[in-house]
Amino acid sequence: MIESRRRLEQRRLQGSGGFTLIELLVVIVILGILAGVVVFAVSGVTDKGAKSADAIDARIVRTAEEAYYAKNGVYTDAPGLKAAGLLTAIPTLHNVVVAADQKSYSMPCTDAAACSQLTVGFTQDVYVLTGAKAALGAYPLNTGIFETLLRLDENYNVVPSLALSYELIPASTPRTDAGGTPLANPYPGVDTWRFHLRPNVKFHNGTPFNATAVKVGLFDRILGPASQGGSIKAGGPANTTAPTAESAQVVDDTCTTNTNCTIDFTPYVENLRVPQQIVHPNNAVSAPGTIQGSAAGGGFQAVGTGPFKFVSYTPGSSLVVTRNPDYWGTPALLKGITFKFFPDATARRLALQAGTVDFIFDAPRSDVNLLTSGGFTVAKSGVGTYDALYLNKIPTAAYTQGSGCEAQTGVNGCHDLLADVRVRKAVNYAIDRQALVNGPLSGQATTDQTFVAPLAISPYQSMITGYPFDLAQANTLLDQAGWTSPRQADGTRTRADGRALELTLISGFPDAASNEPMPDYLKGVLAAVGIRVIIVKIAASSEYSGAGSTMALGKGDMWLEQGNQNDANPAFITFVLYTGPGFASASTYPARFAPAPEYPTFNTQTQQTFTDPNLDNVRLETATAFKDAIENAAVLAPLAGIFRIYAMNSSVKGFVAHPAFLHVQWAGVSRVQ
Amino acid sequence: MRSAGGRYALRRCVLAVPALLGISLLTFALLQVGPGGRVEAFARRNSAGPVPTAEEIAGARHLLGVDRPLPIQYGRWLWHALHGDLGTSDTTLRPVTSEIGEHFPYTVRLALPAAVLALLVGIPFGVVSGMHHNRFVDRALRFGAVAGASMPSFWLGLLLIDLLAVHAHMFPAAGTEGLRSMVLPVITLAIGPAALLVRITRSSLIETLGEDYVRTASAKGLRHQLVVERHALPNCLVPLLTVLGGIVGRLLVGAVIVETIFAWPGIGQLLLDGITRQDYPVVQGVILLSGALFVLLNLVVDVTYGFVDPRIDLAARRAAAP
Repeated sequence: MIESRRRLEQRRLQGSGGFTLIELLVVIVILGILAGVVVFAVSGVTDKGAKSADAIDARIVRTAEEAYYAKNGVYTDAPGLKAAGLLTAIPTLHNVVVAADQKSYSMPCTDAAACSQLTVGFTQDVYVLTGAKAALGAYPLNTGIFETLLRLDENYNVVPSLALSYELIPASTPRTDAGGTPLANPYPGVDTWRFHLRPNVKFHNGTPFNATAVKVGLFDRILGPASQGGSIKAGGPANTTAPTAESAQVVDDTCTTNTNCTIDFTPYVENLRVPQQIVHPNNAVSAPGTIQGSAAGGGFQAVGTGPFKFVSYTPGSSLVVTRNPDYWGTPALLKGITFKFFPDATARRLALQAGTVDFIFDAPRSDVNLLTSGGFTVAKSGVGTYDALYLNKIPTAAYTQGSGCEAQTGVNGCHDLLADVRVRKAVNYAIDRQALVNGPLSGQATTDQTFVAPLAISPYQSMITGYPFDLAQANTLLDQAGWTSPRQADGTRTRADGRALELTLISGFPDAASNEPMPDYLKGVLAAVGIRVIIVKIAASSEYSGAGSTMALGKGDMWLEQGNQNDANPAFITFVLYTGPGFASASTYPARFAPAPEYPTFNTQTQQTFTDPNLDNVRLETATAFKDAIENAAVLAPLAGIFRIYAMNSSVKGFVAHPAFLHVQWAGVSRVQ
Repeated sequence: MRSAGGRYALRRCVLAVPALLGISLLTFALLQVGPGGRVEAFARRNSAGPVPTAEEIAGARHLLGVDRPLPIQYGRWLWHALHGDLGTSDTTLRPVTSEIGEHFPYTVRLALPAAVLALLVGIPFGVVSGMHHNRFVDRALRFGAVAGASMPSFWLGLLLIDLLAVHAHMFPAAGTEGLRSMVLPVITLAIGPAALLVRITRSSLIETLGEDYVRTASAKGLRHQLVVERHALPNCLVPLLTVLGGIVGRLLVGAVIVETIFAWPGIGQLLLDGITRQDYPVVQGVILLSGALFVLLNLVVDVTYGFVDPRIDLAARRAAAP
């Protein structure tokens, strides 16, 4: 014992006992920290070098411009600066673009990797990669790879893109192709749309863009042949029987001038809204032979005609595009864009603040002031999005009093109380929309009650006035509806048969998170008039349609939704919801919320919208139909008009905020120092 | 001893089979009673119109094989799973194994450094805490450990981004480019396990320090530090193995929240995307993988436990148990 202790003591004194575990751990931790510091200190050197070179280049040009201005009273371009002896060479890292009046200039980047690349933070990656709806790079995140025949501008106007013009040829007018051969009408009695295509355009893979390419890369894909029974995307006549003939016919495939590149399109039921519908990015033209969604197990591909070319896609992580130097229009100012996916809104905002991305979609409404005060640019669009409630007017028998549902609550409770229009109107009167906008929506919304984007039904949006905030009126209506018995402890109204005024609110379209904090707000304001709200949040929007969903089964009283007008068809929503052939029988919306039959105006108006040649009439018809559904039938309860909010750092220029984010254009966006 | 250990290992391996089968059955059953309709979602995705026709739904039903009786569906799925075929994703039409194979390395890239970091932080601090039982250092570390274990990862992640990415500009807020982008998610992932390890190590060390053999070692005149290092520490670390199995397992099956916040395309994101898109085969595959990983890790831990601690002959104990 003594001996061993002596030995140990000796070894300790000699220092030959090796390292202890603690010492080793401490050393490892210190080494780890040192390694981390070195790696992180060194890893940004290349980037910083490129940025410095770029900044110096910009500063030299700026100095030269100011010198030129001091001498001549105007700015000039780079060759002008060189001629004046202020620059020894044309700058390689920047373009110098002088305004027409020569009183200002900008310096969009050219090839400097540090400044001509843009990193964009989008929301969750929900690209569909298979089937007829595969739209990588096009929808819902439009990356500038693809183009449509016509485009939707930020004021909901249809403007030329791959088609220069279009015309409607009545079914009674004989048609011929370029060689004079008669073209048989594939669907007799149906009018034909003729598109005059842009000449001298090429797809990214070199394939020429012509009428055949449009037939294969667009119409055959979205409209048939017989296997697909489809429709123009985003609403439109889809018949219940499969089409029997091809809808698209090549008229002239020469495509060298503005007039000799033509294709005809005849829908299989009359559809006079095709030009307004075809702007949807799902109707983008793909290069023939590269149609997405058909090749199982293959790689990802996206070949279009747009200002950017596809580079790579990592599902859930990023999509990268690069400038298309052979673009038919003015080539994009940016050299490339990396789109990254951030499902979490706060993380997306933080990524912008940290400089990880330069631009974000859907900046949180509550963060707008924070971003603005932090020097970021916040771009708001017009109203293209709405928050609204659908009120369950037609209860399902299984969820009607007397069926046993009284013992249940939430989705399995009875859902027959909104069958009374007075209760539906009371819900509307009880909502203080101005307080909603000022509070939960952080002032980043409007009190519009049009349900659709107001610009889409312009100038008739003012016809729909909706409901003022009127608690007295709400209470009167509920009293008239019989909800006058002694209230429950929490203030909930009851009626003579003992039934409590309890409504189930389903929140989940497009997802529950997008609807926050609306459900709790509604619960609070409806409690003020004695209505108890049970909130049910669902993860997937599929609960809003399809067999077995809560909506199809009628397992709710109110469905909260944030929707968006994505095309120029004013009748898009009324059609999708209620009246489309092939829709009405299958869709869950008409079964639950249809204003018919006691509101015949609504149906007449919505059914006319596809056969009325006058677009202005259609806007009026739609406004009339919505007024009916909102103010008379009270099946739709619009809550607020929503802006799209984009945020970017101060280097991003030229961005135009679009009310429908899937129509954002990237070609004109640049970065300046 | 060796043969007892071997028998124990074999026994554990055999027992893992019904556990895995149970997981597969549960996974399959859960998705049968889950909300929404796979067929409906599949048909809608592949329909050219906004609402699929009855024919399209019937076609989808047949294509997905869900028009057969449930036991046959399960049997087919299990048989294929046993052959490494977890089916085809409803959204990408690619094999689920390829999808998992693409995302899993991302998760491993976070999980392993996080586990190492948790060990490097958790054990030393736990030892220091245990050695200074009830003194200021111990209390401070215990407070830190409780705080670390209590912090929700989404809050911690956002806090770290705000402090170290937005204000200090030390690291990117998200993304997968380079080592720098790994730092914040790894720290976020490691804090919870590290706090757990501090607490386990501490309590285990305190318990071990009260053992007779430790008292004997002290009685024979060894310095306290040597007693801890040579006698107490190796023994108190044995229970950590069990905890470690759980920690690595949890990290490897993907942290949905952390991966969402840091836009990290790991297995957690794949699961989230699968749920959002109602891609049932993917959800099924990820859950099965997670369950299998847990079972396997616990198996490894249990078996290692028997070999590492010569005091314990688990097989013999189990045999003696009533």
